[in-house]
Amino acid sequence: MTTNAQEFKTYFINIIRPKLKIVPSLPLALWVIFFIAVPLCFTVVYSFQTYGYYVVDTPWTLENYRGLFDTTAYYRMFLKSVIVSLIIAIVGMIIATPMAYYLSRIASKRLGFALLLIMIIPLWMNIVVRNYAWISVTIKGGVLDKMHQAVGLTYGEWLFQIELVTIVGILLFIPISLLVLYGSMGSISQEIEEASMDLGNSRIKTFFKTIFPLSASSYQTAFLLTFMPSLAMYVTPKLLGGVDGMLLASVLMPVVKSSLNFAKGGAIVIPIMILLLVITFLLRRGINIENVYKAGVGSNIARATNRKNPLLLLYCLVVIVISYIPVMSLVFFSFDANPLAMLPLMGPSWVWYQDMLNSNGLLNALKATIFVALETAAISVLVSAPAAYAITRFKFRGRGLIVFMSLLPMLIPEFITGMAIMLMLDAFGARLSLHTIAVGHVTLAIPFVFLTILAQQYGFDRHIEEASQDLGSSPIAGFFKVTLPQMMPALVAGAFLAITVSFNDFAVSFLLTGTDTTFPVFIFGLLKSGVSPTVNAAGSLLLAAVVLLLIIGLIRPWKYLSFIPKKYRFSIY
Amino acid sequence: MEKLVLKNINKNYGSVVAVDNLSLSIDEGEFITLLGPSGCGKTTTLRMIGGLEDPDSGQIFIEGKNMTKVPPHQRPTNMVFQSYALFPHLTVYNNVTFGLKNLKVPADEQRSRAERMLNLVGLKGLEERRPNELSGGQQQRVALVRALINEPAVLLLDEPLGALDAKLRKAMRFELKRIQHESGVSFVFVTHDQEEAISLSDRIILMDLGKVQQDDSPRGIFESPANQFAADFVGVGNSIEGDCTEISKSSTHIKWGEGNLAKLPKITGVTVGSKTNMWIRASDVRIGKAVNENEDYWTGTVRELLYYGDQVDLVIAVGDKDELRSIITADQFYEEKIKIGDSIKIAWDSDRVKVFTA
Repeated sequence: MTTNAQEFKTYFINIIRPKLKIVPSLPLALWVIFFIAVPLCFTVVYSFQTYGYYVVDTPWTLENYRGLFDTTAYYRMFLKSVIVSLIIAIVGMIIATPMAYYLSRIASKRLGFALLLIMIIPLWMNIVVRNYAWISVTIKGGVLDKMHQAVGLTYGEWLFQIELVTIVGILLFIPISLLVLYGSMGSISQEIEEASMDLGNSRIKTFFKTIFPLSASSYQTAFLLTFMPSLAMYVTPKLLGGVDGMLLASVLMPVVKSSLNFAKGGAIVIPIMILLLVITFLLRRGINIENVYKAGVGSNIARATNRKNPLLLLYCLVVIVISYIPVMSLVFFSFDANPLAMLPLMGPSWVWYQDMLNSNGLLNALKATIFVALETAAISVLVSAPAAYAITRFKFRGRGLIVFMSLLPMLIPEFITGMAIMLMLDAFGARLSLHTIAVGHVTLAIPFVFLTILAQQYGFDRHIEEASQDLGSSPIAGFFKVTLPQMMPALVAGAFLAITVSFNDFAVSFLLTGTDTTFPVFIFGLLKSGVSPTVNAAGSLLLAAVVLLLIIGLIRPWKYLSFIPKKYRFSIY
Repeated sequence: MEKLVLKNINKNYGSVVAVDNLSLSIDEGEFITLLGPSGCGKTTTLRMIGGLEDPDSGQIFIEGKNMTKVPPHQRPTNMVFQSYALFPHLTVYNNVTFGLKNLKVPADEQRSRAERMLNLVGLKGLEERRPNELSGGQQQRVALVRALINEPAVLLLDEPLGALDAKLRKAMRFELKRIQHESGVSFVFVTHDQEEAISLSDRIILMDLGKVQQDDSPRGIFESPANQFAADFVGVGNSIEGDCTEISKSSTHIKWGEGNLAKLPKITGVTVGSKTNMWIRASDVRIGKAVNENEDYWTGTVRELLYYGDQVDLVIAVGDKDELRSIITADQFYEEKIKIGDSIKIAWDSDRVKVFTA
């Protein structure tokens, strides 16, 4: 070998190879840069430019900001949104705390997991459907009204009040707080609590002296994950808030979506972004992979059998029942003939389901949604998996930055993400289509998919890769024989999460949609003309699909296909 | 014939020296143990033999061939991992035949070899189980078979018994020994458990700070520690500080405690006035009636005692400065009715004492 070749080899091993370790993370990094960082830069730039007839251009100006601060309307709207979001996040965490404690530490593992699952099932229902379900409950002549009449009370108007928006907001976000707190409380050893009681603290005092402080960073995580999205909540105020319940996003949407006034939109968004930056900085301890990971792993502590707490169980059941009232009424009215989806009942009927199947628009929208969801799942897994693989295996410069970038989309309200992407696509002259929706959804889904795969890879015994090489597989063969099959469950779970993120989203779909409409956008359009039992039918079907998918995922019926010879069986582990 | 030779191996992790100029060779069919505290470099050495780590310098020869740069999948070594590292998605059978498939062994031979090996360790009938359906001991055996079935030149075992409970650990020692005899493969075994090392090995490489401290038979390691570290690491012993006061043709005198004098045989490397550490195994410290009338003895007070069933471990204070451990038989303990607070005679055979200069 010539010295040159040798030198090159040493150079390659010592200088180039360590730098190549970052390569698998590049797709994710570039995606976040291109679809979060760049769009936000456009937003900032536009906010200083002039709007005229659906285009934004120079001259540079402060007019957009001046316009906002001329009257007190923007201040008040901003303050109102912040206060409502604070209430939603804090009250949500308070309500979730005893539940998380009971489900993760007192109830038997089976019961705890079952109740948790029931609480988070609505997360898989589309946000529009979940909000819409509240209309038929709170509307005059609806369930609440009739209940009042039954006991002889007069029913004050609930619908179109800011209070309703707040309450529904709280209920919508409880499952997220619950999930995060459940994971954190469920990983604190039983003996810590026993030691504290042994040293003379009551059960309640023990909670505040051990469990609560040990979960402190998870409370920050829960706060971030509920406050951020509620600050830019759009669907709830729009459907349930009326004029009284308008929040920031209600003002923003027409500015951006209808008049394409990105200059003013930018000016509205920038103060929100600054607030979010400050809060994120203050609560940076909550930006913790481990917390999110724990939420995924759930509770795995041993539980003392002598701890029963019927009061807490009752409390959990009450919260569950309240959360389920709208969903149940939605299902219920979908089978009743009353065209107003209200009491009185007019007898059982399939007519709304038939209606739904005959409605071309709705079926097309469903098809579009499924298409977008699958595209989202495929792309987000392809982008996230290599990064998660590299981060858990290699040490390289910029590793921490990659992790932060992967979490970034979770810290920005989806409305703002959607708007920023829309504005950038517009600047590049891209046409909106189902693909652009998928681009937005991938951006939203990346943190969830990445974290799912990352968490699984952290728990993965690296020795098994070494074992495969020790037993004669080359590194590449070992990857396909051992690593990939091991990653498969996480890839599937990540894809599943991406699908739910895509199903669940309204704001991004609404902003980035072209001529095709997705299911939530279609339903949203229908709702402009009032409550429709057809929508009830579609929502119920969606719920049924989610429950069915979950049951399949949990029971894994293919395990029972033992009559099929093993080698022909499709294996998911 | 030498199966494995390591020549001047060095390995650093940043500024931490993991293995420091280590050389050793292993014969065919030998069971050798790398013994040492955690961080002594034993696992790193094992992983370098298997090709899972690259040495910074030095050479590794397996069956006479230089394997220093050969990747793990092309080396004739196999490893039993501490965590077992069984492939969770494969059945026991597919785990066990994983290496044979890579060696392109014909399918029927794979089957017969797997059957024979699974029989050898008593796992017949569990072929279709997944690793998570096995007990810890069964997983351990699968890991062993998975490596051994490939008939490696050297089998590497990284604390393979570490994850088992105490009783199973001891039972598995016999099994390991038997399997090694039957297979005739050279074993390189890593452990921090000196009892395990002594009971299993043909030869022990005692390591600390990345260096070989002593390379000896189990008996040599147990009875003649080469240095202070070896003495402290293996077995329960006493280290007594003292000063050398006199050296004659045949003896060395060491003053210890408050005016006690130990007359020892001639020791090389010790000069008058040098600080010394006398080291004596606790089971070599005789007390009470085991002390002869006509030998040199000292007197101490029993401070603590621990009862082990067949033995009793005593702490005896000699003066204010020294506390000695003595392990005696339970028979003697009962016969002499020894209690805490008793004043008692102490003696030892002076040829049992090792002296290390401090």
